[in-house]
Amino acid sequence: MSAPLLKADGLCKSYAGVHAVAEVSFSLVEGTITAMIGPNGSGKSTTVDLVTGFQAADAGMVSLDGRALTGLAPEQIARSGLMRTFQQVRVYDTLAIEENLLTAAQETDGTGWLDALLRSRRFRAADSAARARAAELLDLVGLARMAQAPAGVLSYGQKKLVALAGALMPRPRLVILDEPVAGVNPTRVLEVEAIIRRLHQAGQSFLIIEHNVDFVMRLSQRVIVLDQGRKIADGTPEEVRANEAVLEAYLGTEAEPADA
Amino acid sequence: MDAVFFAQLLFNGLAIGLIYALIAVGLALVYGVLRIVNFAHGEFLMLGAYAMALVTPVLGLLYLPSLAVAMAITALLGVVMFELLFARLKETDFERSILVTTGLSIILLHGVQWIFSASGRMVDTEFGFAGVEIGDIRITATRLAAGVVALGAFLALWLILTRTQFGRAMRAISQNREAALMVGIPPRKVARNAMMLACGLCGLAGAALAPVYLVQPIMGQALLFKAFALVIIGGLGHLQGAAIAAVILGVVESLAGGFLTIVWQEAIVFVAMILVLLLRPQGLFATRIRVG
Amino acid sequence: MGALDRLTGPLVAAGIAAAIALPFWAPSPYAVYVAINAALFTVAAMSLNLVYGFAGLLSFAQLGFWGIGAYVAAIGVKDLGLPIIPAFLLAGAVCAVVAAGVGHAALRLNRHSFVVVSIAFTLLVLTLARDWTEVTRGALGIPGLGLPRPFGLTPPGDSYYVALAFSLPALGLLLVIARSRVGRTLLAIRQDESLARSHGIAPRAYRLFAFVVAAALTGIAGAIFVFHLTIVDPLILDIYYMQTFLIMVILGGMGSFWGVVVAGILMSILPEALRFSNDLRMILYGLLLILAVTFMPYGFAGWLKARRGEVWRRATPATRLPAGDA
Repeated sequence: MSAPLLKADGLCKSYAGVHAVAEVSFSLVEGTITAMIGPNGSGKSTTVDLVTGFQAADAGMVSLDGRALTGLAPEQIARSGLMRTFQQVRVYDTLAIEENLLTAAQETDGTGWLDALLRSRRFRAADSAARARAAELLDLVGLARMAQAPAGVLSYGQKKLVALAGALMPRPRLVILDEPVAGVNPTRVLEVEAIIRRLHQAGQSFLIIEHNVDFVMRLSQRVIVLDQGRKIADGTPEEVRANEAVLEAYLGTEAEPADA
Repeated sequence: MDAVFFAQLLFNGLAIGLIYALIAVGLALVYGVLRIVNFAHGEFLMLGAYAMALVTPVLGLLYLPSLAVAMAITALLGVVMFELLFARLKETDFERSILVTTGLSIILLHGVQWIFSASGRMVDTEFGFAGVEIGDIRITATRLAAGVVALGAFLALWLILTRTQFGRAMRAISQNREAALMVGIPPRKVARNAMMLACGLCGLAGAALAPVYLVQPIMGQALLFKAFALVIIGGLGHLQGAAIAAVILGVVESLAGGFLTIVWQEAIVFVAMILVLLLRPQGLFATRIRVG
Repeated sequence: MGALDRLTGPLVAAGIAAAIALPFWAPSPYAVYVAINAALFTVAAMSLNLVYGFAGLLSFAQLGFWGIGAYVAAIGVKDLGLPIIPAFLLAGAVCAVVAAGVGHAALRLNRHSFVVVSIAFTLLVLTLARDWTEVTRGALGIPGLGLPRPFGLTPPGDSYYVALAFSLPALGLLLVIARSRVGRTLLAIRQDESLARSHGIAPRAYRLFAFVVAAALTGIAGAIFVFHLTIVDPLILDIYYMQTFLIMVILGGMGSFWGVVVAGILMSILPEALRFSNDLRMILYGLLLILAVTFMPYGFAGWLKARRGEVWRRATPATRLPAGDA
């Protein structure tokens, strides 16, 4: 088996003595969709923050393509090819949708501040390439007609699509989606699923954090389950569905995962 | 060193330091409870002084009743301003709150200047220019009264904050906002009370200063900047810190005024503020530091 | 969209032409005097807009830089014997260096603390101006300043061209920054710092850039302003200037270039034209500030933009996505 794309090893984080994440380790294979599920407060979002540098881990290591990410700032991690979205949807409300996308890719397009201020030849080339990429992604998520509208006018679900498209802009090695369909109406969930599937067919790797178990079971090749900050299962959707510990964790809190 | 001269400076410094403390504590209280830096705080001091100047002749120069009326007026104005302006601000509107209070400060200052002109006025009281002799030390009665009034106000403030329901609610909110809201403390009511108390104290300080200083529209701004520095030295939202820093400043300024050039007297507080910012910036802002 | 955007080019060209010809059509020398204030205040306001409207940092340090620039240029000419242009450049350079140092430290703090530190910084500058008498001459100030008179026009015609020779390029530079990717990035950081970081943007570097550029331009504007007044004293650090810049930014619209330029010019001219007393004018400013912050937080330009947003919202009621292939 090839070297893992992302490797997290022994991640720990506690707040005032309470373990939010305890000894969580996992690794992702390039070109796959991996899901991370778990009940509320199981430490999923904290794990994302630890991997992407938005919170500092108390202990543990993270590496992407064998390069250590531990201790890097969030912006450095993003530039090294690991992009993320947020659970509470975030867009730049007053910027046009196209500008939202351009902003997401600008730091890795090989141009500097002077290029941008002087609009150098290099900048113009990078800019038109980025605009083409943005057009392609907006087409994919069905917002091409709205490209020049300020992102603030979009609905909640549309903003989630803009955030998703933004994360894909710099052609990252891996995209972490933090609850991409939470709060999105059921018909649109299918549309998001189709978009992710199409991107995956084009070779994009994903780690998807979700509450909607059906959604991830359909979409992913592998499922990691967290409960109370610990990893309790890690395997194919079928294996996880049959796992005793998983059933127990879910039955104690909310709906059964396997109600297909 | 002349011991009598020294003691005289010390007493004067204590009196003025206590007045500074009244101003700074109000500023710290409003920051602690409302998370607002009130740029109009100095104008409430000025309004207190003008209220004193207008009320004293009507009340036959009686000191304490005039003081009480001036304090009541500024406290009431504080409530009105809260309901009109501050109540609309959300906790995340920090910059906006500064802009709103800046606007309020401009309106109050220039409003008073428009009505009463920029020139200063003296305020006469029943004490006139009488002095009190303690041994060889002579202190003017109005200055002594200002110190005593401020001490009394602090005693009352301490009792309110520790012994009453509404004082405890204020402390709870300023110490741990989330927890206080969770146990059902009504934030709006507490914020209104805090504004009333802070503006009342500031107005009281202005009224007590009126017979000692020249009363003029810009008096509030000069003292406000000093109070900002004190609140920074004492720790944002930290009442005791601001009060202690204020009393020390009053004494040090007074002593510096007696022994150094006048220049240093005004600079001390800002130099101290810069030192504090340089030496313990984290300590100052520890409660509000965020991730990243 | 449309009409206003298409008209921008011709309007700006006409505006610049009118500004250059102003001493020849102004009704009185006093009008030219007002125009000098307008030119310098607009640069200071737009600099504040870069820091607050774009980078999201409410910086009272702008007033400090306005004062530092004024003092450095005055001391440069009077005590160091510098020619006037190098003295102005020195003023800008000193402000830039000080801003880099202060910004480097202050930008580590959160937004609340940044505001407080920026106030503390300006209070320190004021203290130095008043009390470091060996250098600043204290409250007496440094008199006998003056701008060069290359054309020998009726005063203050020459001063006006000096102010314009600085203001037009300065505004041009600010426009380039505002319209560039750097300006867009600053707006992005102001709106959502976490999102910007997730996009690989280092907020501190961008903010420091805005802070330093704004400091340098504000410093030179302050320097030209006191040479126009002919004296620099601690009154140059009067909070009145800061309030004026702030009101121009808020009414014009945070994060809008033309909005703030128009507000800067109008708010310099209107009060003079209306012949208000200073107190009445300030009361009006205060009221406008409160009303704008409460009801129009992004100023006139923001209000216009919001209306454009409405157009989009109405044009696309609940846009349906193309059905997926699931």
